[in-house]
Amino acid sequence: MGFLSGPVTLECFRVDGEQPRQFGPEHVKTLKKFAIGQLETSSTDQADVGFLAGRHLLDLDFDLEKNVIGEALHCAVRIDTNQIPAAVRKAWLQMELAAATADSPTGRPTKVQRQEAREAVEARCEEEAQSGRFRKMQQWPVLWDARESILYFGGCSAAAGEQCCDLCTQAFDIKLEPLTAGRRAQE
Amino acid sequence: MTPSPLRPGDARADIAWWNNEAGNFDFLGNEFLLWLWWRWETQSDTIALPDESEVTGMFARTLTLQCPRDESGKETITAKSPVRLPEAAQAIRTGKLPRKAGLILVRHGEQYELTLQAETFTISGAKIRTEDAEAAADGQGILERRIDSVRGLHETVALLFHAFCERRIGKNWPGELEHVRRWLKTDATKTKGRPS
Repeated sequence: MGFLSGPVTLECFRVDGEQPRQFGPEHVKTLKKFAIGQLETSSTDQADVGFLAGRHLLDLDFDLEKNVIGEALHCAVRIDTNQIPAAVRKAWLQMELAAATADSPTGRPTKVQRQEAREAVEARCEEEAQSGRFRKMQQWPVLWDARESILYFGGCSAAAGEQCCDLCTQAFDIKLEPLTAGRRAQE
Repeated sequence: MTPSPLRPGDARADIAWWNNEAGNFDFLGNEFLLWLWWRWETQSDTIALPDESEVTGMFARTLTLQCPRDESGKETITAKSPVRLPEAAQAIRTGKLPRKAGLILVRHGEQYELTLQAETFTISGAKIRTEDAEAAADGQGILERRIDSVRGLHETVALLFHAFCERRIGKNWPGELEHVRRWLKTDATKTKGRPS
């Protein structure tokens, strides 16, 4: 997957701070500690972000031999979101309004009925999000090269790259800076 | 350092996607791709790198150009060799700058086919071909070799950009820029190998 086979997509980050020369069991332990699902977010709107062992979307089988390749640490980052599609929200709102105005001679909802319908939809969204029915899981490969002090993020989504950086920064106590054209020129 | 004015008479260049912040030199990515185009078209397709190796390259598959003054929009050209098409030459002559380009680079016997986003330096869809890939060891050896190839890809692009930056900050840059301007003005539509 990602860096280990097939076409490669990558965004580079310079790793600053105290870095290992060689990855070891303590780094695999950190991957496990910050694995997806270990740190549930309090809000359903907020994405869950965590490490994967790298073979597939559900791979949590972290292992020194699998995740440490030479001078590099290979894993993946999974980002789970709970967004209810806009079309589904709209449908639920229409259904709520239809039920509220069923007995109305005009068929038009009042301001209060609209407000109540919106609140009912919000409550349903919260409930559905907690059930995990609309959970979307996405994964991106990550390769931390100790030899070059570079972390390769295997994607080109700026938002996902930022979430990956936040996770790595928190887990390994490092600083990451995107190696854009300007930053490279300064180096 | 500010963006190089590429049109005669311009004292400075405006780049719509650049935030003009001091310390942000991401516009150099756009200049880099244009410089590569000029260099490969007018001189040699092989460039000496700071580590004394050489890289041979060409533009391939895709080229996205955008007007830095936000006047004439953005276009993406998809072709085997997009820089050979008259619309690509016309675009740079009217002042558009490359924002994303497909490149084929060969260094140390490895061929990399990639798409480079100029400002972020994000590489996408990179295919790595190694001459003696079949001779690699099995198991962990294959993975280590693969990671070496990823390193090689990154290093090649980084060194090529370094070679450009050395020229860009060098005392000969005004002269080189003048050559690029002249090429844009007169020769960009009739360079080597383009079908008439």
